[in-house]
Amino acid sequence: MWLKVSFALVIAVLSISAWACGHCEEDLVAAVYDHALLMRTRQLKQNIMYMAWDGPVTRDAGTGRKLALLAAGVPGVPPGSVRVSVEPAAISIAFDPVKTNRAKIEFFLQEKFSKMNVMVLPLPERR
Amino acid sequence: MNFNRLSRVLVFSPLLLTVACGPGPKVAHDPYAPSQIELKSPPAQVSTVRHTGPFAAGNSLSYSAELKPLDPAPIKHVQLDTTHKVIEIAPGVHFSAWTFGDQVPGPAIRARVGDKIQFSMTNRSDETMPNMAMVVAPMMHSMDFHAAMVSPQDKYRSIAPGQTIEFEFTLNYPGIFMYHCGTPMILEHIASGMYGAVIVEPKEGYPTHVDHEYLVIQSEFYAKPDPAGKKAGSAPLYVLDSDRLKSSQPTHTVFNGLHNGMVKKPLPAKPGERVRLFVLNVGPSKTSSFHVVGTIFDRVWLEGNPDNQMRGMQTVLLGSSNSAIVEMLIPQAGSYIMVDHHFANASQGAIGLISTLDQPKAVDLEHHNMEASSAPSDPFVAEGKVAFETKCLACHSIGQGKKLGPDLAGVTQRRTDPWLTQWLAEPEKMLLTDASAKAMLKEYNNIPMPNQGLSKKEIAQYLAYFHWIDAMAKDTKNQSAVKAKGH
Repeated sequence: MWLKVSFALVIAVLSISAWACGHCEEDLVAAVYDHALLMRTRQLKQNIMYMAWDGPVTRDAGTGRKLALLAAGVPGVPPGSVRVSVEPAAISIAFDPVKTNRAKIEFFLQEKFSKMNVMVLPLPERR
Repeated sequence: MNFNRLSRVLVFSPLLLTVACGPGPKVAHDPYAPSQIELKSPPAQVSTVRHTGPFAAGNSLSYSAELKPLDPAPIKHVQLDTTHKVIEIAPGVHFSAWTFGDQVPGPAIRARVGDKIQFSMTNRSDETMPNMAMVVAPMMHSMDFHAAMVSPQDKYRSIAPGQTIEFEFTLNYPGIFMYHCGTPMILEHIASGMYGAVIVEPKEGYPTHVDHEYLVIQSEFYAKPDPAGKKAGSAPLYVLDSDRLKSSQPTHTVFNGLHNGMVKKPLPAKPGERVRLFVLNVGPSKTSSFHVVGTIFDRVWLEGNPDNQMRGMQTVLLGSSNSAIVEMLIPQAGSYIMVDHHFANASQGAIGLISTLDQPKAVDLEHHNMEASSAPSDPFVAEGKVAFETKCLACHSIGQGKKLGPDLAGVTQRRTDPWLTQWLAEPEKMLLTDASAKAMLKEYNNIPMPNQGLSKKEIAQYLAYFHWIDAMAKDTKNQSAVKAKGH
């Protein structure tokens, strides 16, 4: 139990320090920003959740693809709505607020990403 | 008191006084001491109130190399909106750019130490240009002022299309400072055109008088024909070549956003006049060895700050985002050639003129630069160029002399198309049967031309490219001859 908590704390601290080179959370959002997707989700009254991610994994396109595949399996996430950036490490997911919410998405993502020792840290909600 | 005692007192008393008083406080005034500069600024404000109308506004802005005089107002209102637009960086090379103020480089801001900049920017990358379909998706952008001393996390945050950011800061140091978009991937944003200059004069002005002031911004472009074959009007569209960008292999290195731009429009000056150039190298990845052929920099103020003065310099070395003010005398009538003395860069377009003549002679440039566009606008020819540069440059040059193999400038005049076609397809067979191929092998130390396994289409592209080069060279010679004769 304590080991898991320590791991989570280390990951959280690493995540925050990783923000520094991208200046701020807006830069993480920028890395996965997709204007066409944003317009489409607005029309469908869906939301987009932006998150930082971190973990002891290779930062390459392969890791990005694996994370995107795992995230696409989260309940309530419309197909084709996951965007992953490896550098800076960010992920965005569209979701239908009628079917799910930010807390559930975070829970399912943490569960799925834990297979790769990756953790997510949600960024503040954007209007 | 005898004489000896008196003399000892006279000799040592100043010393005793000095020791008693100590070295004393420093009298030199430091204009950059924390007490002398302004570090406070209110938090940035982000809203969804969009700017409409012009993409840039402010009395302190200059839109070309010719700089406006300093606006005396102590508060400068500056609006620079971000746009996506197609710009022509070289003849026929229509490049999909991202901009500040709808131009590349963005407008220059001129102010002085102690002035306050009140800055406002709307991300208008979602607005379509007249007569042009959107070629790049709208995206987030930001503004990073090297002239400011502020929290990046507050002021330089990225904003989404349709959002506006406003913040202010005070100018504490004189200099020429870069501004650029700082949104990831920063390299792509700068290479796509999102940069400009802030000129900050010393509070008391510059210590010298000049007759002309010009701004020269050096930058690189990394362009390739759009893989999807998109057009800019009827011409092929060029887009950012990410592979070249990551390996720092620009296709164009330019002054003020245009290949050979200040050759066609030289910066005017008269004999005996003194010229001040504000030179900024924005990179994003190359250094500049800035030099003006025919004169010497009387004064160089590194980073544009007169505190950093050097005299009598021939070249000033500027890393990416470094700058300098260079002042020089124009000694006599003529065209003085501004170049990056790293000539690989000059040959890609980093060249311009300060000229006493209304229309300088084209021959002035012959030994410094390849005339006109270094990139063909026909995609078929452009593919030949890319293939040539990828596979052949290790052994061949074009116009730069022999390497392991021959210089290929003029090759279409020395060889027929069928000969070249067969040579490119089956060099090993030609070396057995063709006399001129055998002679060439001997001339080049028995190093045979390898068979590259080229397809018929690739060979046709190579030939098209070789013909394009030779046609360009012919045009240059004709133009030079005509202009030299005064026709």
